Amino acid sequence: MIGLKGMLKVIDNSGATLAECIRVVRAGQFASVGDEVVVVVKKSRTGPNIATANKVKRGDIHHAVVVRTKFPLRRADGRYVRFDDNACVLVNKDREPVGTRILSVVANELRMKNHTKLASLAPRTV
Amino acid sequence: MEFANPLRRTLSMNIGIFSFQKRFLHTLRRPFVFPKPLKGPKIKDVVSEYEKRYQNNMDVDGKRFQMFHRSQKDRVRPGAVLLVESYSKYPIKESINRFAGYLLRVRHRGPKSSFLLRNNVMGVGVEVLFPVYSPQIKSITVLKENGIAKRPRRAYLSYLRQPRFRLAPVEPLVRKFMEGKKK
Repeated sequence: MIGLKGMLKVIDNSGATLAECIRVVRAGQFASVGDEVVVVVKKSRTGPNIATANKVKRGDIHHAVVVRTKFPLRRADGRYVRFDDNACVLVNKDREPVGTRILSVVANELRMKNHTKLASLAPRTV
Repeated sequence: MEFANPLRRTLSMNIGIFSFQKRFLHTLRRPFVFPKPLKGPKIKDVVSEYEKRYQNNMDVDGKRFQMFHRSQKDRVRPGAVLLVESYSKYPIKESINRFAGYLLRVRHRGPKSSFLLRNNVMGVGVEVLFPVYSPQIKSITVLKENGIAKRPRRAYLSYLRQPRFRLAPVEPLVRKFMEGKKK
């Protein structure tokens, strides 16, 4: 349940570390895993492991896809998955990731919501 | 799961007959022979009977009941390390998805009972609440009966979410189990 002012950890190598949601792209107040969100980058890092072509700076506005939520996600057989934090991956308007790698776990809902590229980049899905 | 509810049918039929009686009493042929009321279900508590049947259908061996029900002596206690193997594309029983973790609580709700497992996956804490009688779950194995140093004195171990309770990683136990399985 990511809405306006929701803080998200950025888990790709685009350079951003923390992002704040300013708008949920689909109709409705809150975004869940697999939904697109417009974010402002609040913290960014510099270093060797960043995709240098698309370095993201503090204050940049980007689209992002929510990838982990603290709010439990319901699966078809009645199981609920909950992560300890909220995370996102920065994307451009064509839904392609800005970074080249994803650094952490990701929810399986991405596959069902047509974000197969993100799901395949992720080292682990739950 | 579709179970016929005979009670519902009799009720609607009886209501129909009474409304018929009220309106058209003067037009009835006397003496009018009313049809005999249908017999109600022998068991009055239909809901618990339904729950029992659902549980028996879902849990053929009785293993899940033995593992999780409150009345069983050898049930799984909170603090245990469990491995859940489930079919990722049910009803196709090919690809198996594995999740292991510490049992935080068992939620006793009859056929809707569930248990909560917590694990640290790549540095992120993940909790999954599994329904006990889900057909999507292939098997539940106990990797360790008590994964916590002291026997937990609580039914709901929510305190394990705090950073000061660093739980031992579960991966080596899973690896040992998988190696044992291959042999």
